[in-house]
Amino acid sequence: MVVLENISKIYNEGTPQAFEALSAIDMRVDRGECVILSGVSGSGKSTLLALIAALDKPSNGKIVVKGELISKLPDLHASEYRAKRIGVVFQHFNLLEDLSVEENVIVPLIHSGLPLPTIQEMAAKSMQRAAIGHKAAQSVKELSGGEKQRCAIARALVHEPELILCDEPTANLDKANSLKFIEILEMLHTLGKTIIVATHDPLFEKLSFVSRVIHMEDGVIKT
Amino acid sequence: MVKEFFMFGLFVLLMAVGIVSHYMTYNATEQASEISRIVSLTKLASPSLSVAFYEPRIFLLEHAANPAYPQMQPINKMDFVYAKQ
Amino acid sequence: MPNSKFSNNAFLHFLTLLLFKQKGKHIGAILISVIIIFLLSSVLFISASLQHTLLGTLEKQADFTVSRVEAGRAVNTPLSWLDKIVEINGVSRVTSRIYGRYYFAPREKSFLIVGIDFFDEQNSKALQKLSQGINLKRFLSTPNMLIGKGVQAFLNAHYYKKSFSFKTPQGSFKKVNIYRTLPSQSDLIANDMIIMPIDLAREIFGLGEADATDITFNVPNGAEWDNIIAKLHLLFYDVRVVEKREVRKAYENLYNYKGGLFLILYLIAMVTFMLILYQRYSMVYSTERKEIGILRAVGWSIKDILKLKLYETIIVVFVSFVFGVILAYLYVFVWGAPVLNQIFLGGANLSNHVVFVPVIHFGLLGSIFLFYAVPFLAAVLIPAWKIAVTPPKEAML
Repeated sequence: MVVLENISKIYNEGTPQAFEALSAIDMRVDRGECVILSGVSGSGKSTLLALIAALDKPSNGKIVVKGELISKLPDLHASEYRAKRIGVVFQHFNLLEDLSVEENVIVPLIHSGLPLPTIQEMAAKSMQRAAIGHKAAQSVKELSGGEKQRCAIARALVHEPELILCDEPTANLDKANSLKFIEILEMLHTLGKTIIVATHDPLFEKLSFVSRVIHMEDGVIKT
Repeated sequence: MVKEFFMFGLFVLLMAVGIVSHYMTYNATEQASEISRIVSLTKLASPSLSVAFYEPRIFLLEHAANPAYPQMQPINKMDFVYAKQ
Repeated sequence: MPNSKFSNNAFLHFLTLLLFKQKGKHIGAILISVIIIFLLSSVLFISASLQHTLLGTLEKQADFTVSRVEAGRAVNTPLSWLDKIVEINGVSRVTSRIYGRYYFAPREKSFLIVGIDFFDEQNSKALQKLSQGINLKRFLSTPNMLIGKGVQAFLNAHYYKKSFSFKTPQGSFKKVNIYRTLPSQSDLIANDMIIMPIDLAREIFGLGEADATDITFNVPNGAEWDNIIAKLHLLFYDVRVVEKREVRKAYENLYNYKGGLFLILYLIAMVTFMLILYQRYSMVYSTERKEIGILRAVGWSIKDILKLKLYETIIVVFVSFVFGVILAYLYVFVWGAPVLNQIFLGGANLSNHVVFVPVIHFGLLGSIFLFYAVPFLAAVLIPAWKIAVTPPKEAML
């Protein structure tokens, strides 16, 4: 499903402030797997996830997702990849604060060409799955941290992506909400989704549905 | 929100239509007729003294004489000071 | 209920959603835009209306006005000039005019006294048309005058309710009764006017029987105008000639939007607008940046972002412009432009309340729209584009 070959990422390349965030990363994630990228802050796991999500481009190497080379995609194709093929859950939720839960959830589908009633149906289904359907009309500003995260999950799932990427999803949640989040992940895993989670939360270390844990340190994978 | 947006758009359109209909139906001839009658009688078509229509260009005070009232001296000339009332 | 094609359109739904839910962001810019458009449009409407009315009055004006000058000052014109002017080929409708400025020293205000020979048939007919049902015999039986609205208000305020005594050059006083007030629709030209019989006017100004204020005539053939002027200067060494085309030019320069006051007003308005817009949008820059970053992260392309921002801004621009123009129209043509009208009418003499006839220069309105819309769009779209091309990860920070 996801293949990374010799990936490196250098920030401020060519300047005295050049910094190598990732170095010679080789990684493979098969369909249906749930992989945890673990490591302390600054280990490069969020950077790696951003590259897989085509939110940034690697300095070297290639990333192939479901047979498609995504590391050198032009903007239009990269946006389409993010809109249709993957769902991303961010550490700080990254929701549009002025809008309601439902309005946030439909955002990825605005340019899909689908009629609004269809989009709203898909959003309702996604919100139910993320257990946030009862708050559909509520403004995001009024939600708790856990509810915001569930709204973010609903948004990530609305277009039924096969690959789900989570960047420090429980960093701003308490233990109870973190466990709820893990329950949702388990549910997605049983539905056959491929999941990659970048986290340093020890709660993810010993989960039964996790296929493997990849440890990262200083931009390299520790075997 | 599309419905609310269209309602708002309709409101703006109605206001614009109101203005356009006021413009199209305004009876402009009445004022022109009254002015025309006065001019027919007095043979004087100049604006009244209380309309300060003489406006000098900023920085360019040429041709300061008011062509409608030749007796009104341009104030930037010395004979304004010495002219008889 | 709008067509289902529009109500089912997801982009339109999202666009209108953002507009309504983020109205706080836009309301400042809309208010400022409305105020600036309102001011500019009001100024445009007032000046266009005044110009239009004044140019309309020019049609009845004689082509030429001649008067005598002495040492650079205009003095009384001898009526003997009439006969000489009549003999010039190509001139017609040669008449003399008696009028002048009566200066009321205690209040430093002036009236424009116009003397009319009411025994002239044409003039008496014109008077009947002007003042319906006027009894000419009664009007001429005693010293009577017709006064403009401004004169009436002034005399009322100074307790001259039925008559006014004019001081003649001989030092005596001539009491003249107020017969009627001229219609208020003619205030643009007749606000300060007093119409009285010609003999009365002569008495008040001390004008002899052989003198007039000036002489007017027409020259139907436009090609002859320069010839006629040359002949006049040859006939009379001390003549001053004012042509209608000079007056037309003066009226056309009236509040000319290309010059002076207008240009400065436009420049100030535009600079103020740009500064405020810049300040407004730089304040929302960081939230805007994050919002665009989020949209990019969930799959919106740069083109999608710019499309959203473009439509959003076009709606804001259009709504502000339409509101500004509508308000200006109501202010000028329905409510009479209180406060602003005094700036244009000048308050130079007596207070005047002119009714503005609706006149709209659509071309100029279009220019105002472009001057306003283009910088506004640039001020919003350029920063939006800059953020949109940043890698989403950076933009969301």
